[in-house]
Amino acid sequence: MRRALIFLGVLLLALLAQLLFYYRGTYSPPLIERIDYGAIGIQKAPVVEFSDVYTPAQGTVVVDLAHSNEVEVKELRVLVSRLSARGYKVEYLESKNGLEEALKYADAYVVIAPGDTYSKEHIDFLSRFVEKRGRLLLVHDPTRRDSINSLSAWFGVIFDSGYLYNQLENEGNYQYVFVNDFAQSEITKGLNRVTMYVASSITSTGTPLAYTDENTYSSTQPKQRFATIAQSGNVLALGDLSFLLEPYNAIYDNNKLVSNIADFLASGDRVFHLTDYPYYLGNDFSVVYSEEDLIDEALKIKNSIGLRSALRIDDPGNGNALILGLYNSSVAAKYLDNAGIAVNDKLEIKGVGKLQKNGSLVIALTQKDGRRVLLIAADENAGIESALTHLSKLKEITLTDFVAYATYKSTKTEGARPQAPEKEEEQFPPATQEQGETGKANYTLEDILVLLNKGVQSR
Amino acid sequence: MEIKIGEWLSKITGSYIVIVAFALILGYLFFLQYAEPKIGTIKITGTIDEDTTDNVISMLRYAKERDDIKAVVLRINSPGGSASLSEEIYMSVLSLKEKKPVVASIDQIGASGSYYSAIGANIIYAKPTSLVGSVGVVTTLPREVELQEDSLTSGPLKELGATRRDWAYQAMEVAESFINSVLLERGSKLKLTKEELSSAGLYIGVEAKKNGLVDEIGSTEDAISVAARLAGIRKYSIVDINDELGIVAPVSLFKVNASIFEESNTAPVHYFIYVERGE
Repeated sequence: MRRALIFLGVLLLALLAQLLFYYRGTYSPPLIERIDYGAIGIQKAPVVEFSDVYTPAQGTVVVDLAHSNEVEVKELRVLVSRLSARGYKVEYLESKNGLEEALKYADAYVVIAPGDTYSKEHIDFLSRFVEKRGRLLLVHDPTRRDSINSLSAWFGVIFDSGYLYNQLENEGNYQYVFVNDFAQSEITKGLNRVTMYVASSITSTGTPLAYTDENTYSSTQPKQRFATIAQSGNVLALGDLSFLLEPYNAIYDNNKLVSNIADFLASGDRVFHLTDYPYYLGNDFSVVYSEEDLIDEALKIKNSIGLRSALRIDDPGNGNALILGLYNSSVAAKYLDNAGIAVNDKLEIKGVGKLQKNGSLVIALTQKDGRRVLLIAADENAGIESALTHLSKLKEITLTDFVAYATYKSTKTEGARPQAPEKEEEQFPPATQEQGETGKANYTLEDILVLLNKGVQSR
Repeated sequence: MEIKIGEWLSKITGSYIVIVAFALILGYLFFLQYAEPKIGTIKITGTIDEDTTDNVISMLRYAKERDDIKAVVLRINSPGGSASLSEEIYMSVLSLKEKKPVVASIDQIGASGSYYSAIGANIIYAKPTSLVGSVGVVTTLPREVELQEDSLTSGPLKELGATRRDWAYQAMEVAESFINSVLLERGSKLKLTKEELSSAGLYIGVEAKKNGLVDEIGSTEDAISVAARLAGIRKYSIVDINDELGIVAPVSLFKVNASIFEESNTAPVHYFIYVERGE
């Protein structure tokens, strides 16, 4: 018994010794806490009911799909339906070659996230379109890689790199920012708060219309007030596309903003130049031949246009019209006068000078009281007969935005060489409503001489 | 002969020296076998997916159940992975910590979901240039479902799970849960504001030490030493639990390409992961 106790005692001592050798204390676990998962929750921004209010109108909005635009037609359903409700037709441009033609009749042009860089030629087309008070909507979205600055920069708009974010107050994600600070304009009318879903800021020479709040930052720009909508005359720039799309259009005042944008596109005061032929005549106009001898030419021109029109001998006095007439006819005289062209022994064209009358043809567009009249006048029937050929190359014979002049082989003045203007006016007259914003003729004296020489060479 | 052996044994067992020696040897062997303290190491590497999680959970359980493993060091080298699986590991680490000290040692990267695992530990170690943080969520929004005549669902959200907008909100709630867990676990040691933390920045070890995302800069050896100290042991041996259970740790992915989302489930999934949003 004694031996057994000794054995156990030594064994315990051995264990204790090793315990002391290996251990210096015991582990005291900390209090294990868990977060309150029940308290996790983020309040959603409200979906706002919206009723669209608009003024019916007519026109065409062309949406660019020809520059590898990172947008699908089906995405634009909300905007398109708003435009349709306003009576506007929406067309999609799918070929770059069609841009010049589309801009002849479009009232507004929409560019969303173009993947391709805009060429100088296309920028020129759009610049002239905007000069003619066509409405241009430029939309960038940082989630869609695009080259929109290649175009927008020409209109004083730069979409900044990066994206905006707000970690304190947002619509479910730090990249979904609220825009609360609006300048007064038709675009921001009735807006209190809109939400943009990964938006870029805009630097513009125009007017910034909407700013983010002080807690909004840019991923690339230094801290500042960030504009997400800007307008420069007829050009409107948006730093986000998503708020136009379902379901994001329904949050806060986004629907109202979409409608305001539709109003912007559908309320332009588009001016047409002669080279926009024949679209300014609309789809229901008169072709007036004024003299029985000209009926064949009138018919040829009517058929070549491909728009709905009615052939008449008399000027109806209302509605758009294409009128054929000789210089000395009363109907031609009226519209020549409206176009600022006086006919004496010479043709005196306002802003250009005096040009030879014999063997000449004038094509002039007049726009007065909402009525557009395209006058084709010549000093004899042979001139009218050459009109169809000249209409197909109007760009080559235009003297001003509204007047074109050409020569033809006259039966009276065969072999006659057209003369250069006798006198160039030193000062162009001030712009008139009819002449558009540029006001003055696009041609210098040298240009006209070159054109006239070309005319001679082509005989 | 038998009588002689019996007498000899009687003499031996009757000797106090022999009794003492026998007791000492027995005590030593017993200690060696059952009571010598060990520090277990568990590798959390690669993307946190189902396999990784299953392996890590079984290793944590093993460490918890084995009495001689007195502390555990998590050797982390992972960009994170699935949100719920990361939470699973975090909760298992918490459970282990209730019984034994756990020290996290971040190697190259302890980002997002793997950092979530680390915050469950008593102490977090990192190397001076380890990458630490990325406290946030990556998610893909549900894709538009094409309607079909020959298949039906019982509800509008059956295929999507949630609308795109709701899913975005859910992602923020998932992030909120992660962020709040970091705030809770790091407590006053964390020098980042909630807004800064939710930026989901990735910091090198020395920065992470300054901003309180980690406790110490040091090697895995240092982490083991601290684990031993927390467990109250002076002398220990190290058990590689991966080796012990025959679990091969996956090769660590420094960054994961966004294609992971394409390869994943038909329904979108939230990820706690540091991910390269490539083409």
